[in-house]
Amino acid sequence: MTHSLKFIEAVKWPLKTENFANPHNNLAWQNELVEAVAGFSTFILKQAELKQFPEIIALAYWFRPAHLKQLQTEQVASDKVRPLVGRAAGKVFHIAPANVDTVFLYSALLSVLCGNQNIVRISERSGDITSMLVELLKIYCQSPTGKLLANYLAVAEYSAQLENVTAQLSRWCDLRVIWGGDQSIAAISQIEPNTKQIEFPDRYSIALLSLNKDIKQTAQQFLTDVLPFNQQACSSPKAIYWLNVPEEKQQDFWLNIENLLPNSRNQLTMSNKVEQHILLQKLAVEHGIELANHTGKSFAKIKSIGPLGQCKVKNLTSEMLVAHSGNGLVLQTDIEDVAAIANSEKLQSVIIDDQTLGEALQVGKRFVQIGQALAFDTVWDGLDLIDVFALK
Amino acid sequence: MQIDDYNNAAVFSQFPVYGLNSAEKQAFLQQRLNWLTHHHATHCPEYARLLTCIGEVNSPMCNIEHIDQVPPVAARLFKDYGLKSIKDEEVFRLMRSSGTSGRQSQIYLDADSAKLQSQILVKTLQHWLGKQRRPMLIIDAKETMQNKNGMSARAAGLQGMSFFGRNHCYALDENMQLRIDEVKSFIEQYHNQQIFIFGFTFIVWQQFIQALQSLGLKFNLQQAILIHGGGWKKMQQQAVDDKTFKQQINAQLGDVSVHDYYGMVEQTGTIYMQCEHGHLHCPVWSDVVVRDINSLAQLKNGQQGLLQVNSALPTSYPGHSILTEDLAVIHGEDDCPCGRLGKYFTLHGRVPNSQVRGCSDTFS
Repeated sequence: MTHSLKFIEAVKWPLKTENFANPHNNLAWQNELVEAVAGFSTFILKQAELKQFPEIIALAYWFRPAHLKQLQTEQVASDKVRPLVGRAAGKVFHIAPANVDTVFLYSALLSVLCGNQNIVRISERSGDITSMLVELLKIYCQSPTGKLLANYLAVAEYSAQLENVTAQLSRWCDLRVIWGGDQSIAAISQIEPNTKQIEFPDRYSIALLSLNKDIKQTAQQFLTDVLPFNQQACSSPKAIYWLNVPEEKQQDFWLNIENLLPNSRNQLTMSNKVEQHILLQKLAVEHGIELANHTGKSFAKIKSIGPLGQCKVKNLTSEMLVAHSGNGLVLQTDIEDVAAIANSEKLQSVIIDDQTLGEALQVGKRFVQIGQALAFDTVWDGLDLIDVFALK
Repeated sequence: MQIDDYNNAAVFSQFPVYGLNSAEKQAFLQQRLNWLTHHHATHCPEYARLLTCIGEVNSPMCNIEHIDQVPPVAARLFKDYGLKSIKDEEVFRLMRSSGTSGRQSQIYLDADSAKLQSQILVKTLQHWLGKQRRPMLIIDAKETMQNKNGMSARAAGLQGMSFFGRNHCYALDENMQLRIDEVKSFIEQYHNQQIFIFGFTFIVWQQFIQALQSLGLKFNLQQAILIHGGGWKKMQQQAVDDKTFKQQINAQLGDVSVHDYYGMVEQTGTIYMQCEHGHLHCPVWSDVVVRDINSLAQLKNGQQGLLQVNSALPTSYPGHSILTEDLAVIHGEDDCPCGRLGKYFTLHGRVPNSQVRGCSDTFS
């Protein structure tokens, strides 16, 4: 089946070379392909001015040559790769979320490594980080090592209202990958409903802290997890469960946060602060959240710590955490036993500062060391992406 | 004054619009706002949960000692929830905000609230316009009022204001273009009388004043008054400030005193009129507080922060204390050079909006 990928509608192609439309061989985990992807990482890490964007650096670090070599060795040894090589490349259509998260690019590049041709749809309202990444890809794909990548990766930008474009791309692909939220997934699933698809719906994450280690370091790691993407990524901690942590230690933690914040890059502004106040009221109206410490009619309901806000609550349900819209508000609650953590289908990462806690956890899809919450893993949301992208 | 009177609308609606000093106003509004807090806590479960959230669980809930202490409801909540303290069958009118983008506020009124709101609006405006109805030039189209899809805030504003005029002339046609012949003959007929001109700030500027300017038309009105409102966002985009606006109006129209006003659909009836010194004034039924964006602590006069508006009027929905997303500075109380009592303030734009909801908006 051939599709010309020509559209009458307003579809922009920030990245698509003429050669992309030609048939390409499946080069799953072959040296030249691994080098083409690793080259993008090297290209990013060479740009000094990108150091100020931790999200981009993290992406480049993940795709660094040494790491890809390691994955390549595992894959080639696994016997899964050989039957694929030399066949026509599979076709994967990725629908990225607007505004937050670079995670869609991890999945797209991983799919490239698995031998597929990929089209990534980005929203015309995408955030700065996304635009910057697309621009970087464009430049890199013109370099000698990048040329090969361009055969396997294209980026389309169009409004989601253009459903026939989504339909056409869905017919083009062998697999459709949709990054949340739930409403988008429901809406897109209606378009060409027989398309094979994987989806990453709305998730929330929490931190479970015992503060048994260096508090300053823990505070720094917490900021690494909570600040990027305005706390709106699926893996951003929305709340801290304090596991038998005395109040003075918690205050020490927040004091450290306060001291570290001026040197921690973030994009939170005055309007996020207003959103924090509104969010607390919405959680009260909709889910009956109650503050634990209130001092009469004083108005300091949310304690403001630089651009972050924190408040301790009496009750913390998964519905509240699902409704939590980020913006830098950290809810907290004291617990004596991990069993007190509300489990939910929507709970993704449990971020821990004590390795021994992981074993006891019966909640969430993933537990992760503090400071690593946003780190990408080939198993995401319980799905082994390398397996999925092998398109058997 | 009897304490009971403070909660009797028939009595307090007769208070002089700008005639109570700080102590008198405190006595009145403390009683009234406390009553409203208890009333809404009893009749609106969502509002009760807001008080419970901040630990106000004892009855009577949240008795305040000073009017600055009423906990405000974030204005955004009126967009997301149908907050009301009346039964469905008592809803007399549903008001919606004018916002063209995003969700609109929904304000439920019963017959009593609607009546009280319009009474107070009349009293406030009569202070500025006098009791005599004036020939009225409306800088809008007749068609704006005839939208059958519920009443927009703009239509509600026009309808409310048209009550203060007679011999109404609509200056714009259905395409919002100047009806030049009608305007000319209206002004010819009434140029010696005190004409009342009303319109929304940006419409007055772009569709009327600039249109007159490009046609090279000038008039020489005597003792006319222009009341305009609706916000400065679009004006700022064109770098037009209050001073330029007034100067240009006087250049095109002659002797016109120009008064901006501030108000919102969430507190219809309570309006803040701009005096000769450029200050917005609280009428006696209202009070304002400016809060720090981070801590929501009350700020001093002269400091800029989020504006909280308290009003004695809303009984059918919990809107007696609202935290807006507007930035304001309070300049003083009872001592404006114009002589009116009450707090006076200026507005300084809105908090830039960032209603981004994480990964959830792939499909837009």
